Amino acid sequence: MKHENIDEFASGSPLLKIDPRTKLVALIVFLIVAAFAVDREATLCLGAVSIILAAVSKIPVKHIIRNLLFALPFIIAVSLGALIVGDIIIAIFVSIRIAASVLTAVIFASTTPVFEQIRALQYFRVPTVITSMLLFTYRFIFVFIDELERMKLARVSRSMNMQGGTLLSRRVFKTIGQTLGMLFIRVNERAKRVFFSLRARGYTGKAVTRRRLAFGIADISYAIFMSISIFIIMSIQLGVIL
Amino acid sequence: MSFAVERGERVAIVGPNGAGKTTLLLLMAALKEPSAGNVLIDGEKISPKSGSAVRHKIGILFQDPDDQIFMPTVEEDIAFGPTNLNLDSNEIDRRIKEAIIATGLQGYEKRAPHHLSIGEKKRVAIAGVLSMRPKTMLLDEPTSGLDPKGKEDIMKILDGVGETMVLVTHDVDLALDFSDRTILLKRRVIFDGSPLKLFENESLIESAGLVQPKVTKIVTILKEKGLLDSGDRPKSIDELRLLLRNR
Repeated sequence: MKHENIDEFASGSPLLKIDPRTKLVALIVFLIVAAFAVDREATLCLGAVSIILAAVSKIPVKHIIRNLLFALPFIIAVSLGALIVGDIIIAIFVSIRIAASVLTAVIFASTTPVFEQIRALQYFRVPTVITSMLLFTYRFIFVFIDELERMKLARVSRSMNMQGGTLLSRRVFKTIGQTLGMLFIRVNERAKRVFFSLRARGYTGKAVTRRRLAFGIADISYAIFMSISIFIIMSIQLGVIL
Repeated sequence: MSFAVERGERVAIVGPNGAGKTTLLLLMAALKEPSAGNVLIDGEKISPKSGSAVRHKIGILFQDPDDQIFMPTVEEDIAFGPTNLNLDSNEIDRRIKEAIIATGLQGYEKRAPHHLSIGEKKRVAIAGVLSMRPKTMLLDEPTSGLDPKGKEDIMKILDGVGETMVLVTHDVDLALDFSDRTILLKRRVIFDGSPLKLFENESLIESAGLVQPKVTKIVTILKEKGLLDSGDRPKSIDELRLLLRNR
């Protein structure tokens, strides 16, 4: 079965050259600033920074929009809340702040191979159990999707389809429960086999890689751009400028 | 059960499903602790606590390459074992290159393993084991899930790589062709010796829930028809073809 490549856009992006640690720190600071920068001009600056990053990243617009759509229900819900307690202008600016935050996170995720993201987390001493779980999820998500797909085909081939049923239907509910139970058993079996194979190749609990993380000119440029942007946004927010 | 594998031997362990073949392989690779008894390599007792020392000696190829391939690119996956063994960078590079050549994976270095075909994944998994340069290779159903051409390619690769090899399979044709010693397992060792001797013993094979290899059946028929001598004992279709051609 063919699957989407999670790291599809990472290799072609100029932002790939930037060390994942620099990008991760910049993202976290950006998100914190986005949470506090409620001023309208500061919000517009947040939006502008995220759009500049999107343009530099060379990620296809379609991919960005598709990922932003995942956040749409959340944006709508929060905006509706803002609309109820405030007015339409507040709702619009709240939406911009959330969209800018999501967009920056999407750019980070799309321009940094998952393995590099995990290495950055390891560098910042995120517990091994969490980074290992992320690594295993990344590696085996498609394998589990394949297993689920095979189970679905087996179910359909025996004339079991859930068309016309609802989640409240006892039959559908039972089938979903059985499928999830079976998937859990299969995943558990596979986990054991994966553990054995990792041990067989000297794995002792921490995924090691030969790629060296290193800071360079691209990191300095990126750090300067993000620092200046954040400085301007915070200055606007604190009333130092404008 | 008790048996020893000598250096340079090619041993096939055959048996029906559930005979304990894979468990035996995991014990031999020091990945599982035996509930009783010992596993010895070069006279030394090994267990899951043996650490990296045993990894230089024993390499294991799992049945499903998806269980084995872990890293995001083929090259990194091949480097995974040697990196865990703390080898220096030049040595790792050398091993990667050798493993890639041995498995015909040139041009695949930067590709994501989970987007490859099953045959390609098998080759990546073999390369990952080869890069650790084990003295003994343990192979768990190395050809399962492959088409005939893929099966032939994988066996050709494996043919030239290991000094000592232990193959676990219920593919009797493969066991006959591959091994110079066969162990029949059904919770215990019920035969240990020449593969030809084992597979010619139809009742023993059937009692273990297996069938005779195709080539053995054909040879029996040809002998009955007088087309082969009683001393002719080809192990594969290719050997049989050669024998008939030379007559």
